[in-house]
Amino acid sequence: MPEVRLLRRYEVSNKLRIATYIVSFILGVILFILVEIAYGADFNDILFKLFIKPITSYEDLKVTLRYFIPVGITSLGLLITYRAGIYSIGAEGQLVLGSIFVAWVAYSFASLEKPISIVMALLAGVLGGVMWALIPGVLKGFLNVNEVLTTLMLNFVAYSLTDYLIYGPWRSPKSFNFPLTEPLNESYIIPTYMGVSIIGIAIMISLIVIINVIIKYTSIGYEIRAYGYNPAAAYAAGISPRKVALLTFILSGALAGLAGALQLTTVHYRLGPKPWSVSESLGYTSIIAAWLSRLEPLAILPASMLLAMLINGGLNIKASLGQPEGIVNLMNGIILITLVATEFVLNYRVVIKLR
Amino acid sequence: MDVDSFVIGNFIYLTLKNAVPLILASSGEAVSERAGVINLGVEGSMLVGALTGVITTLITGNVWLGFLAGGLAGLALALLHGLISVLFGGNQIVSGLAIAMIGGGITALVGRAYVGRSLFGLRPPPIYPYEVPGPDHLKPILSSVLKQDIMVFISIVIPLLITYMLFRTKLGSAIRACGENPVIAESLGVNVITTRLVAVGLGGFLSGLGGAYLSLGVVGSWVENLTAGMGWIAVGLVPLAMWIPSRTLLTSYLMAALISTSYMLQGRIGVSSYFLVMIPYITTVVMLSIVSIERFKVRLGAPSALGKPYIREERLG
Repeated sequence: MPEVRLLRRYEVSNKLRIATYIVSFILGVILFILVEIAYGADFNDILFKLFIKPITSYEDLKVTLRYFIPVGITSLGLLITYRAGIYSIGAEGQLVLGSIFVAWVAYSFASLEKPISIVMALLAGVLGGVMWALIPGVLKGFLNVNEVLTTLMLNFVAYSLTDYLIYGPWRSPKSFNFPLTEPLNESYIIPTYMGVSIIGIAIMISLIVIINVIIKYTSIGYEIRAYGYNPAAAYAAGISPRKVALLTFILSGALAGLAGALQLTTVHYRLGPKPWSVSESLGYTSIIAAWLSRLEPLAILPASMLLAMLINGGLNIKASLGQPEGIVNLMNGIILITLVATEFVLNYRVVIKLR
Repeated sequence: MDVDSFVIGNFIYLTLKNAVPLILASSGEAVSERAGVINLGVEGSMLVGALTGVITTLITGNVWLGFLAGGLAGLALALLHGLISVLFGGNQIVSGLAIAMIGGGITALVGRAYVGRSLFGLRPPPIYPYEVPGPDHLKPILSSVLKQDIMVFISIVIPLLITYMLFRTKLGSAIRACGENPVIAESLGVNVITTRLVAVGLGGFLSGLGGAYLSLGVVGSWVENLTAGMGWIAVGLVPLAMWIPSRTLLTSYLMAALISTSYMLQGRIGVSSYFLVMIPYITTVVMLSIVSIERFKVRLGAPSALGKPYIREERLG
């Protein structure tokens, strides 16, 4: 019998780190494909739909880029909280609140002209996201309440709030009894160029650069990183946990709210019920994008592009096989779990001795 | 609305029933967290348990086999979390989240063929199948208790047994040691990895059982995303119960009473039902905040090593 020994690894080379992440991602995709094959999909067809079609056909590329923008912006915000060791999963709710605030501004000040209307809309989205994020932020900062649970509960509350608005006071009388609000005024719609929101992409890329600088080269970023690495040591060094909690929640809420504003003003133009709602569960998908980037701001770009492709491909597969909405969830979960499982390779070294 | 014995009876009936999944899932999660492992996959385990329970009951025609299968399915999913977070030393929060997503996704996919399949005649029978005795005005209240099935009473005993196990047996003290200080536990001869896996597995089994009760005992069929956040609320109830399984009885009945009240008020008062739906979630946030106030926290006793992966120095495998 060969003897198998697990040895603790203390130092991990960057090469190994990157290699394991890539392998684990591929493994996750393969697992998902196996599930799909068990449900009657064709191997070549799935590969084509997941990786080729989303970027080669122009119609699909447009859809991929449409997911790319909100996932990129939202996951960038989540990355900040995760860097601080704060596990917010509330981007979904913050995104929803952002879109609600934009709709509120758009219906209240319908006569505003461009570009003031657009600026107002984006600011309203940011404000909505920040307000929703401040609830868990204040609770975490002042009372040290578990942020995982509070952010999640607030996502449910945000969904119900949308439901109340679209089934109640904001329901459009012209929507043939569908729970939809009135479409936004022309002045609140951000134009796209050949179906691609250039403005959205520009905003996302500049935000990535800004956050990258903040995290790596400013004292605030240093405090966030130090707190995430070792809260007790950071506290001893005079870093206020309260400040870190509030700051990271405000930043991530602002970005999620902005993503919600862009979703409403460039894609959806109106609020609707859950399966087609403004958020499209992208707040949860962004969690995976953030972990896929290994909390590296510049890596958000390829990570969110990959996930945008996968969402688009997953939805295509879902539609062609008549599968339920949850299939994208399953894909996200499988990829996320293989990403965490790589910790095994980074923590241990397997030594096999032949006797 | 008029409050008479029918309304009171209905309220008690709903509260006792709604509490069962919460009690089972949160007392199981309490064991897992006592061992130092947060399992956010409770929602996933519950969904998998609920669907497996329905499928097994439909195939075998035996609801008790359904409960057993539901619990085992929850156990299997929780052990996946155990594999990643305990054995591999991965991040517990992220792994749990992934488990919840996988549970939701896989049940949506597999459960499609079972949506709306009626379990007529296969529901757990009431413990007192005869005409309820007593004066007319007390009958609704009496039958709200007597017409419950045996699981309602089993769910009261389970947290008590687990609490005894946790605080009075050797396994229990090993579990608590793993949650307080795994390094010292290991040096005292406790196998931290195995003990944590046992605790996570037990938590998963109870979550699956709770999920199975939701589909078999409460709703009576399978629908996509049947739990609708119940598993997350169960996780939220654990700190409120101060990580003591028997106290999850108290917190679960409180939450179940709130949920039943919001059901019963729908359409009866001038508040939109969409606001009533928020009540359990908002209550959880508020109660979590209250118990987090420093003054209370001293007596709380959260396991010190909660959420921290334990990576053994060297291991023979």
